Amino acid sequence: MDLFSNLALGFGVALTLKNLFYCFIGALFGTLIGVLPGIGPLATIAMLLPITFHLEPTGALIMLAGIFYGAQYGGSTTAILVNLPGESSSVVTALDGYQMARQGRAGVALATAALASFFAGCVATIVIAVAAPALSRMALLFGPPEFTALMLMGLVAAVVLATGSIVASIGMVMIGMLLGLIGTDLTTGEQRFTFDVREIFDGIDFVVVAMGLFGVSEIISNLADRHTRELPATKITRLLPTKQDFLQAAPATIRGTLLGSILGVLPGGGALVSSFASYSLEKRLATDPSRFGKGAIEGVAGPEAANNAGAQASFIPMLALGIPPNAVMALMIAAMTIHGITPGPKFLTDQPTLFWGMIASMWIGNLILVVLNLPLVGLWVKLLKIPYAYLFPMILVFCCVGVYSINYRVFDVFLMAGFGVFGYCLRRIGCEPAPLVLGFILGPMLEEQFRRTLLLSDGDFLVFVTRPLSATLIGVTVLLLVMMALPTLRKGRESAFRE
Amino acid sequence: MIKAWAICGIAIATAISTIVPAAAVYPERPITTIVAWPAGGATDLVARGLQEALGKSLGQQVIVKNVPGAAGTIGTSEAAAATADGYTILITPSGPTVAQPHRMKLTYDLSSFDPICKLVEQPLVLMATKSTKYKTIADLIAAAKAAPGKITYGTSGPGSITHLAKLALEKAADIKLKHVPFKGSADAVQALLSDTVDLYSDQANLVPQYDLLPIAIYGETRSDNFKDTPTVRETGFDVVMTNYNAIFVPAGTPDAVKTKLGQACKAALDDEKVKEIYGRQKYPIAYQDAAAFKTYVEADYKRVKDLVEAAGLGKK
Amino acid sequence: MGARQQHWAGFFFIAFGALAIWAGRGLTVGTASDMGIGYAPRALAIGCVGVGVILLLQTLFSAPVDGEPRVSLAWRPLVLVTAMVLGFGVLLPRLGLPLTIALMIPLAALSGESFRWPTMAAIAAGMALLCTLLFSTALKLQIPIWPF
Repeated sequence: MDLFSNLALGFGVALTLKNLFYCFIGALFGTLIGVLPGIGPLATIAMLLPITFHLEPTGALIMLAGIFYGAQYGGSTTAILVNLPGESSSVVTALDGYQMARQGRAGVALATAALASFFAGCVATIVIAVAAPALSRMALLFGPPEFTALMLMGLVAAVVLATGSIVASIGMVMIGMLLGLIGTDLTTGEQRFTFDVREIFDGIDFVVVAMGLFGVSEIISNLADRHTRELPATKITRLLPTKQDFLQAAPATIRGTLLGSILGVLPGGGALVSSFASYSLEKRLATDPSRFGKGAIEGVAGPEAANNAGAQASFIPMLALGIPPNAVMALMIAAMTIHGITPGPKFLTDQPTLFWGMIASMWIGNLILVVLNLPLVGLWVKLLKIPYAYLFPMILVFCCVGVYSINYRVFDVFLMAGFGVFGYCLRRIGCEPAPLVLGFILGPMLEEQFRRTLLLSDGDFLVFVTRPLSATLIGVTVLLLVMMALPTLRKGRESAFRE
Repeated sequence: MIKAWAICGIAIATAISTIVPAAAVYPERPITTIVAWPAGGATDLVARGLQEALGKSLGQQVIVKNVPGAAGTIGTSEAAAATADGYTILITPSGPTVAQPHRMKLTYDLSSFDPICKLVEQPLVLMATKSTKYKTIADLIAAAKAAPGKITYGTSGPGSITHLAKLALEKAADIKLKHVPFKGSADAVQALLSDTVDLYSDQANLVPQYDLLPIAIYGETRSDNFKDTPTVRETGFDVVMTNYNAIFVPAGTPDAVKTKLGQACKAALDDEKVKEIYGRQKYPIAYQDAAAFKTYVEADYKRVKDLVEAAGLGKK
Repeated sequence: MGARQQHWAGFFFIAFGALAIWAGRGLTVGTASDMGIGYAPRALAIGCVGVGVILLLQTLFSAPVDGEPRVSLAWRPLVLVTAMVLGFGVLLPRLGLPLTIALMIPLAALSGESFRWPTMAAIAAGMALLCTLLFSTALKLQIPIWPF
């Protein structure tokens, strides 16, 4: 079969000593910067681009790809250990992963995340190899109405993330969207809510918001209730998942992988939507949804698998069409351009060794990552044994440096302090930050696509239902809404009858 | 006591003597190049491609400093406010220097800078998918006159060079196209390929990459890569729109320093390594010395001002 | 979410929505089919106020729970952590990375957690060194290192 000869060609390229080395370096470096909060793969790949002037293209791209998916692995580590999501997708992992850590199950959570990511990475690699050209066409079926519908679906799923009052989490999503609208409007170029502060003309960076709302405010509340806080260090019992953990996590992993492989292909936040779509799905399917937000292992396995599968799947439109579905892929294209290679529809036939070499290296990279990360779990967990008086200033330093390094300006550090205080106040009044963060990311995209849809249709709303794909997505969204509203209504009636 | 004073005197004299000739031997310490975009962006790659060779011909290290934000105006403000001693230079496309001053309240203007030279330049290409109904400028104009505001033209944002090209074409041909802004060229290309928009204009290398149809070139002359594609000017409309990167220094930099920098830039652009790096990235080298580029950029400034103000994009 | 918390949350959403309406007063609103840049902000701000009102109405009907703690802020950690982050921002451009870290970490002594000075000093020095090597030497971030 063609596929096997192609894969053989790919492994022939990826298994040369030099390329194995680049793959290892990429995975290692990716894990490192993924663990450091604030310094993401985007900044790292950008910094390394000039270095790749001097490397040969295959090795350079294998290394850059390794950094990208290595960072996805590493990103969940800080989210689980200290509630510090350095990337949008780890926001979801932090929800239950951090709770597991607080219960002394940090090792289990980290191992689950690594294993789920490994499984998802392997499957996604096969999906790319088999279906890249076919799936890439999916990215071209999506026009503004479809993106609008997808974002709506994501926002509805975002509401499910919270454990408390649904009304309050809808409010939090709206506040997040409002904060997301800060900056220069795309259509007119006018400023919104910027108050002539030039530093926020491009909007507030996601990392600033997430580190403030999660990391900094978590430290404030930990210090505030230190007398009631149970020290995780005293309770750590085991590092690896039990059989029961495994049985709970496995189906979630498979479903997450599936979601990620499909949604990851879509440009504009597909991979992200997949990670919390997976969380919402698991919460819906669970026999006891109330465990979610309190350390449910499915809440770690599913989104981690979805996130990693999505990250790998986002290579599909980049390699097969030359369309970057996210900013990191755009940089990968820049890296190829530096070497005179142009990804596009002809890439697969023009550069078979590069294409299949990269795909094979992804599988090898995932293997390297799991071998690298599982032994590290024990080390990471030991970090939690550091007394909090020493641990919290260290976390704060990493937050500050990370946020500063996004744009090299202290303004962002001040802004993070502001979001830390804001997040702490929100916690005190019982509002959770996760829906806010997702509204913050999806809100501006939703508005952009919605306005573009109506601009192109001359204000006709019917396009949303006359295009089959968008009609389907809107249908699913409405279904989700109904499913979400039903138990609440029922519960409302029950409690009304009881009184 | 006298001895102490004498030592002091010698020390001061030595200090002065090291300062005075220092101005003559510019550069005596590393030079910082401000790039007002993030690392890895198009402008950053122009700067980093030049970095090594420029450093070699100046005999000093050249550091690239990324100061991104607000359409390049944050970094450009920083460059304008720097000491005019030649140790801070700015590598920039036309946006922050000739377009944004008309659109935003800024702490600088084009006059805050002295031009050193133009580095690379390429004309925009008006493109569409191969299945388009508008194969030539004449088709397009006829269709646009028949249905004003119906044909969609994607751009990478209001006030961007791609938007200015659309505005200039509309003005010259007296037509009305529907403006559909995107967050950058990647999104706009996706929209073009998925038939969301009809037209887009950007760098020539997108044409072979995505197998597109080049309708016309917004340049002075035809391109070597597609000899059959006419320039917009040939079709009867005097519209030229190019994307260029240039070097500026803060106004008031000593002439000797500017001359030295200009010579170093020329030497760097002649370097084989730079030619190779720019060649692979398809950045055509278009050197212009300080005097010629000054005339060029000032004319560009006036032309963009008219376009921006006519389109109602000016500052309020 | 307890009844007292919900009370506060209601006021918070109303205040935030009102603030957003005020801040966006100059933006063109337009209609749903021809949205101005003020449309989404206005709709979301009104939504916020609506959420606040619903939350407040709900508290009217839910019975007050005995023993629910009052909503209060722990001022000491709030001020301390904020001061540490702000301090980092103020000092970094003036003192450079290692000195800033070395000055910032010992502030943690004020947190009320138990600690020993020699360990704290060692951690401050270690972090200053580690961060400088990691971020500046290895990752080549453009971070100021020295005050001069």
